[in-house]
Amino acid sequence: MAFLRTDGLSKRFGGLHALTDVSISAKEGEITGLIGPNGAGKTTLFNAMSGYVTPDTGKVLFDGEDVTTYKPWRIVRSGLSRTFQTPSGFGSMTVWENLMVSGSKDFAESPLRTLFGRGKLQRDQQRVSERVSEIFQEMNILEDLDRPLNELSMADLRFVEIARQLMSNPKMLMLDEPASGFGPDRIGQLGELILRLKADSVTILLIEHNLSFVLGLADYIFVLANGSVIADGVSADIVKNQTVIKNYIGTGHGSA
Amino acid sequence: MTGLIIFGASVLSLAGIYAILAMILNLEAGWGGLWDLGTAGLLAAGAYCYVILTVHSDEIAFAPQLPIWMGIIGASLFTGLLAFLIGLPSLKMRGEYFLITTFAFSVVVLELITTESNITMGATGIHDIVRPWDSLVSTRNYNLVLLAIISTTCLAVWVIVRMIGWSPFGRLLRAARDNEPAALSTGKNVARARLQTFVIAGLLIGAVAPLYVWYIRSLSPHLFHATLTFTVWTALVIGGIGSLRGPILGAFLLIVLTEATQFLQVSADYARILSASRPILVGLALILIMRFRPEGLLPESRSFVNARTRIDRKT
Amino acid sequence: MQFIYFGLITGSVLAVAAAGFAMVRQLEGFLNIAHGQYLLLGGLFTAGFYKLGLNIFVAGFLASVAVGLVGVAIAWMVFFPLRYKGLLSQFFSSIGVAFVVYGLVLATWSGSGIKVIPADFGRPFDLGSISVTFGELMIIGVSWLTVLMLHFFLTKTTMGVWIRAVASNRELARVRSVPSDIVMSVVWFAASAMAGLAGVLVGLLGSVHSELGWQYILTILAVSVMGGVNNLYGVMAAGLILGLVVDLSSVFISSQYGTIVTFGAIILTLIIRPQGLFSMQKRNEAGQ
Repeated sequence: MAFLRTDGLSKRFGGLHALTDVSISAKEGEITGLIGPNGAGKTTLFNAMSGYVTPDTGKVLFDGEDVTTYKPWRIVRSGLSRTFQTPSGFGSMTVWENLMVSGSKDFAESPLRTLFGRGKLQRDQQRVSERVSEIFQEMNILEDLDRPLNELSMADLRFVEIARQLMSNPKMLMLDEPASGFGPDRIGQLGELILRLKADSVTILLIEHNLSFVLGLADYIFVLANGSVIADGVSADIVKNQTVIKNYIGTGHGSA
Repeated sequence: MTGLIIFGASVLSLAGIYAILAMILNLEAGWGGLWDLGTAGLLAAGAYCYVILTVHSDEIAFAPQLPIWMGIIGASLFTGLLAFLIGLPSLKMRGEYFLITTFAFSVVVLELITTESNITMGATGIHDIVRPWDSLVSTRNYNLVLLAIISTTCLAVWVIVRMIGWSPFGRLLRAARDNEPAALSTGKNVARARLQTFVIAGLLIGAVAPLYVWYIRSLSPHLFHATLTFTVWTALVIGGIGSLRGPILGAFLLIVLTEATQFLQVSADYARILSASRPILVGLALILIMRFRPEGLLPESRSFVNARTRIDRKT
Repeated sequence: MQFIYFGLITGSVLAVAAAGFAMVRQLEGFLNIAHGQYLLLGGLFTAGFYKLGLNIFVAGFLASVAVGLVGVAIAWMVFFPLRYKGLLSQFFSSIGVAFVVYGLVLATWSGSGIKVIPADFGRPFDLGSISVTFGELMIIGVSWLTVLMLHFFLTKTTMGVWIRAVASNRELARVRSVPSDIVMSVVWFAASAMAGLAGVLVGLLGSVHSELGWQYILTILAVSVMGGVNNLYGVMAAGLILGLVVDLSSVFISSQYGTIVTFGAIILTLIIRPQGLFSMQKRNEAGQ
């Protein structure tokens, strides 16, 4: 049963056909990979699935719900989270504050509650802070929660970003090129994290250029080129697929 | 000597008013990232609403002559509602478009005030406005009473703004300001939060508008010229956008600097030059700060340094 | 019909005023709030030169040139050093400049609150069904002549081509050794001189008062957004259209609502088509 599915998604930007009739699916509890050359439309697809771009035609179905026209924040609340190609974060704040933002919900963020009902607010925030510490321990990445974001390396930023998105306990996480900026010393950590998430029943969809990384992790792979799906299958089949080799692997893209 | 004290009280009063406005603007612009150029318009709306509700006059078409406290609440609600109506269409836009739209609305408000003179007395203005505890104190000493009222309000606004700034709501605003797509990706309804911020600003501006009215003692549209908005912005920028104490510092420095020139006794010929010195000083201050210390005197980060200990230490 | 004529006058002057502003916006990237005050200076200098006995055309021309030079000087002193500190710094600095210019004008203002430039252009006569004066026709003529000259300058001269190169891609222009600082100085001169010229025309149409700068900057700001941020010709067209809209509307609504109509139109445009009337951008790219 597909947890996340797109049906014939198409999107044009002016004269550019970014996506043409794209149908992919991610099975619950699995790691699904999305690969393809630059400009294939992978990030656009992510944007369409997470509400940042409205498709011209087609549907996006998540956990049985039609989320095609949902705004980004609403999709997140349905349990589908994503990260961005360049690790995103709130630059003026510390790591702790970044995670607190994600962990605090409508309850805490109402202006009325801010001015009245402060006791409940304080207790709620303490709970959130505890969860921040928990996630932080689990992920075991940095020593110091109070570091400002602008002091961190790309790899650390990525881990913080993922931790931040995990605060909302998503059912599924879409990762856009998570390994970019990772040297060989830390990429193992990233791989372990993704596998741990899978063990915790978080469904994963990931875009990746680092072929050995994604081929090793993914249970199933879709290949996108020029806005269309040109192939799909398990890793072993994909590397042998002639169309894929011609359009992507063969051109020297994405070697480890 | 007492003359000096009275004059000083008057300058500090005006500084206090600008400090309050700068703090409110800091909430919208500093933390919320909303480049709002409509402060003067909202202040005018609040001021006129307050006066119309409370003034005793036969010349105005609608004059319920309510007591002062009801006028304040009425002005606050009215301005909050106005902010809501302006915010709905305006907040769909970003950056300079929002800037221009709020500026445009501000002008429309002022024009409406001028043209609907049967309610507002238009350009003629309303004079001799009654102030709280007016009759108890001589006019000269009233400056001190007014300073006390303004100082208390300034403190209250500071507490409120700080509460909001340190709260999860405040954090949401700053997050959305830093990186809106990322904020959306954490499930935040950014549009709603921004509208809420804009309305809160409106409510606050409306509530403090009477202070400005009491300070000036009369009301006419030209008192809400665009330069008022720009002066508040200058105070905020000088003090440090995003910092808690910055707006207060900026407002005090700016107003004391510009009003101090009034202190010099000069002949009538030079009086005009002296009053022209105010915009020149404000302008120079802004240019210099932008050149040599664009983040302002007090940085934002210092205001949020203890965010975590405030929560964790109670555990 | 008469009102269309009036709209043409108002619109033409607005087009000139907004053109310079749009040029700076496009080439430097920020909104120069001081632009309004340059109009004020234009009107003031003209009144001054005329009073010295110069012919009105000479006075107007000299005034425009003078404002152009002032604009370049201010750009060098205030805006150029802030190039790499971000657009907001330049924007706020322009507010500072506006205040300083305004203050200096107030300080040196002699005489009454309103200055009229007492040039006489003859009495009204009839052109078809509308009543015109030679002065008004001349204002329209000068405006469009300026626009044409600007167009010619941008498309046919070396400097103009360089300016357009810088406008479309600053980095590339630098690589191709287009002398950036000289180009920008020319841009500032042209933009400020046009503002000054607009001020002259405004002064001739009515009077010069101290609040002129603040009064016009709002309309100019709005017109430039209405016309589409990166579209010089769109902005000029927007200026013309706005002038027409305002004057035509006075047929239906009392003229005291003129300003409200202006801003109502602007707000409406921003809501319905935020990328501007003539912009090619898609809606959600606007305002980034």
